Amino acid sequence: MATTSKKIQSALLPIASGIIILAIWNLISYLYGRSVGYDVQRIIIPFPHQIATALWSEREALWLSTRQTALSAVIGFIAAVTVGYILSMLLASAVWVKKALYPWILVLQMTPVVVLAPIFVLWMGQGLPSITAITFMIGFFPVVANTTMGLVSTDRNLLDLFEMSNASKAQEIMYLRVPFAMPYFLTGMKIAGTLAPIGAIAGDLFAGSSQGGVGGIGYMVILYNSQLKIPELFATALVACMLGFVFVGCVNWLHWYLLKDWHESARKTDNT
Amino acid sequence: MKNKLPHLSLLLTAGLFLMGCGKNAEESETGLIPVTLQTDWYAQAEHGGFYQAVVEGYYEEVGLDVTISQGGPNAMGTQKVVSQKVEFGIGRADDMIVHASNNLPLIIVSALMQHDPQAFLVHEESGIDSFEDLDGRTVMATPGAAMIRYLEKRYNISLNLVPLDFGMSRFLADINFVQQCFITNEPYYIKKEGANAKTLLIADSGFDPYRVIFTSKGYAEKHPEIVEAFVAASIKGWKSYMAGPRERANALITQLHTKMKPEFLEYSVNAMLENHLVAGNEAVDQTGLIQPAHMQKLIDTLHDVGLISEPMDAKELAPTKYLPAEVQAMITE
Repeated sequence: MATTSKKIQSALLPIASGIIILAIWNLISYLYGRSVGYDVQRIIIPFPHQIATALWSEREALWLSTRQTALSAVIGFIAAVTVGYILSMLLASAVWVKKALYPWILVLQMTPVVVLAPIFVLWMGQGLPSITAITFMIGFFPVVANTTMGLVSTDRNLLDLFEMSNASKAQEIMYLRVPFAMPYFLTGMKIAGTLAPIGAIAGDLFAGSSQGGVGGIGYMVILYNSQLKIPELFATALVACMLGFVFVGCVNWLHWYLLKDWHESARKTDNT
Repeated sequence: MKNKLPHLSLLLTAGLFLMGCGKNAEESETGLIPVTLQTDWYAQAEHGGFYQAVVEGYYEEVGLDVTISQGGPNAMGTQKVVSQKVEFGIGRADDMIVHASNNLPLIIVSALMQHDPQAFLVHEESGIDSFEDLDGRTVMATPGAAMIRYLEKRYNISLNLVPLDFGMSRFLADINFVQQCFITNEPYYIKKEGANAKTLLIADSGFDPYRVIFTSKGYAEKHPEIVEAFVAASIKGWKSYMAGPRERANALITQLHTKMKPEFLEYSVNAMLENHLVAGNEAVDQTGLIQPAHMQKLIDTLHDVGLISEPMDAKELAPTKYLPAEVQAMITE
């Protein structure tokens, strides 16, 4: 019985704190509006209900731009995971390969993507290719770092067992190293999943356009800001946040699905 | 519970900070009234008159201590003016009309330029000769700017808008690229890079907005004499800057904006003179003048294309009473 009341409590607490946050927000908007006028308050710190109204009246444009950003995020994410995985296999194949390449992958990772973004736009033009390239750049490194770590830290005893059984190098990689590295790879994938929507929005800020009626979320940020549509800007932030949750939710589900039948981390709990 | 307190106090501090915005006009120790002008960009010739008024002491003469706050890509002049963080801002009349239609409490107090220098920069080889030719093209401009939306509606064209990144590299790399520019500005670099470019001036589209100085309604009502003094001294500064000599103002500009070169400033000034951007025309010097009839025409045009939903009175948005008497005398009804 104690667990039920605990469950209710854990569901009620965030709701209660949410109500408190909304109340404080309303109070600040109200006090600010009273000191400078409500027309000014609307473009500096809008009331939550003004944001909700903006969300509703802009729902069509926001839906289209979210779809566009989601598409860039998915493509960039898949590219990051695929290329990242292949690169890790390469790095783990021999010590000298890792020694030769890893520092340069680090260099690439350390270069802030905001610096590279204008260069991508110059090479690939405005639009999806540049945006996905920016998303890829943000997401691929965690995959490489984690997967490589997994591939090179296989249990010594298991390696000995494979050697004693006269397993070939290929067998060792396919049946031991790859499965052993799976949780590491999936952790990298999870991190890439949280970064992908951020990357796609950042990419859209640099490489977005109004092609096809509306741009992605980043473009809408620029548009609303230049028109002083600040409640709409807050609504866009809300939508971007929801996109992030949905994206991470999907990736977490994939993580659980791939591990559920055999790995301790997924078997112990009923969700991730 | 203990560790929740700091967060609450943080929120309260933020609230107090927001409420603390908006200061009153108070005399400083020097006896001068401090006011701030928020410009839209880093110091440049297009702000020359204001710097001239500073170095020539015109603001001091009328009792003002003027700070020019340099803008940039995120200047947010309108927000700062309506929330009374700064006293004055500059911008294009069409944007001000749209902001006012959204109930933002701001008024235009003077023209800064009779014709806005905004234009589209196109390559000679692009085959673009008119605004109609821009249909379907990729154009780097400010998304959402009233001027852009007006052009799309007026010429029934659709632009593939790319947000302005304030660079030139993409224009130079692609002969089909079109970008928003100041005729006083970008063409200089294009020529230097050896490309052949021409400009389509927005003023030639049948919509010729003023470039203006604006302030918040509340500030103007409370301190009409400060607004009048600022406008008069600024107009004096602009007339003096355009007539020259302007070495001291330019020296201040290059000191504040270190990437600015004297020959570039000269280019911009010449472009402003050639196109009579500040004075309006060759015959009469109209620096600062707002013709209510022209202002009304701008408002009506934006209303006709549906950019603003309610008609608006030019005299309410741009009262001419803050202009000096000799400028007011040029108003024709």
